[in-house]
Amino acid sequence: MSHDYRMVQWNKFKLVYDGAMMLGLAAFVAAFIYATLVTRPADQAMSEPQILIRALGAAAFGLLNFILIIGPAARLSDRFKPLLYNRRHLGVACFLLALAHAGLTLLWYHGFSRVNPFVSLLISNPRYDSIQGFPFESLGLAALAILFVMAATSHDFWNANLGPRAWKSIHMFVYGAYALLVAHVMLGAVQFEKSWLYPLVVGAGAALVAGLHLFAGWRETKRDARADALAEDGWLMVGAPGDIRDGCAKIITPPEGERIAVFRDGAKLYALSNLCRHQGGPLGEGRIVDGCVVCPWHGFQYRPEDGASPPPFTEKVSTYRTRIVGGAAYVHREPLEPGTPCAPSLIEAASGRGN
Amino acid sequence: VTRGQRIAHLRLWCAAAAALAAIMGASLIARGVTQHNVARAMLEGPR
Repeated sequence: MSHDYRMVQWNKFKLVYDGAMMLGLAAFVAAFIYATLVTRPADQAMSEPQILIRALGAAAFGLLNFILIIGPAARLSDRFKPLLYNRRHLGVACFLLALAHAGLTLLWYHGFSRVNPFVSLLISNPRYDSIQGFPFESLGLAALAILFVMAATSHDFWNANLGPRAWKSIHMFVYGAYALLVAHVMLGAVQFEKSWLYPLVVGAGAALVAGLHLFAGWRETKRDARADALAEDGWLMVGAPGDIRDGCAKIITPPEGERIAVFRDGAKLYALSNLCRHQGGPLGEGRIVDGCVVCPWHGFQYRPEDGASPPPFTEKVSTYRTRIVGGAAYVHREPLEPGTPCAPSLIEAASGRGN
Repeated sequence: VTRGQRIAHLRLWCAAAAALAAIMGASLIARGVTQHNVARAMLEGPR
């Protein structure tokens, strides 16, 4: 967060997460190698180093598909949120797998040349005007460069020093890397392989990634268009306060501006901006834990009474006025300055009167 | 994620889905041509 930094602050969840990730990747690489050795026809035989190169590349590409699916899946169902929490660990693992794939490729295909292997990689195939013979290695190299920048800046130190907007912009290049890798595989391995399995798997992955993003995005913008009803004088109807689960929030969409998260903490009702200061995570999908609203994306905390992070952290989000009239809760559409204390509405006390 | 970013992401994904489909379509056509040429060369034998 905004206070100080350690390389990685390990906890039990992170250890389990990373352990499961490493086991899964090792199992994938082993299964890929075994399946290739067992099922590949004799006339299409590959050497062991070639199979390992292919297995590492497939693991990196498969992991990138998985990483890109997590975001929209978490927006569609809460069950996927735990995967989101340490997604950057998966990103770093993806880069390391891609690096191993590229390193072995360089050694195996260009290491025996008289020319420098890097130079050999870049000049040995100049057919940029051909689809069939396109130097697909250069596409992989460009994707690897993007993955390197993302892995190198994955720590929160960079998020805080570059600013969330610049950090997010850099990390949006992952979609560029994904497009480059789809082209890398389609113009590389898919061109040489007789089996339809390769294009089918790549196509299914791309369809899933694009389809889930489109569906989740369409659902969100549809929700934005269907703004919550405006009562009088800028007050928005929230509904019966008892309908909000204790420690959770109801997200209100004003006709203009950003979404508002109305939290219930026992008998108190608070309203905060739905946008986490870290990376714009949806605070209203988080919970109140130990008196603080916790962002579901990366665990940033805010006090519900003033929208400020507990010391020594310094992040602040906007607060909103709330009131309860005739058993119904309302939130005012105008945000207060980030960090402004705002008295909660008391649910028990509000029995038909304004509060 | 802000309201504006949500709209921008959706537009971006429409373009990205079209680009991915174009990449895959072009490479599948190229693959078909390559494999057709290979099969023909095998039928014709060495020149």
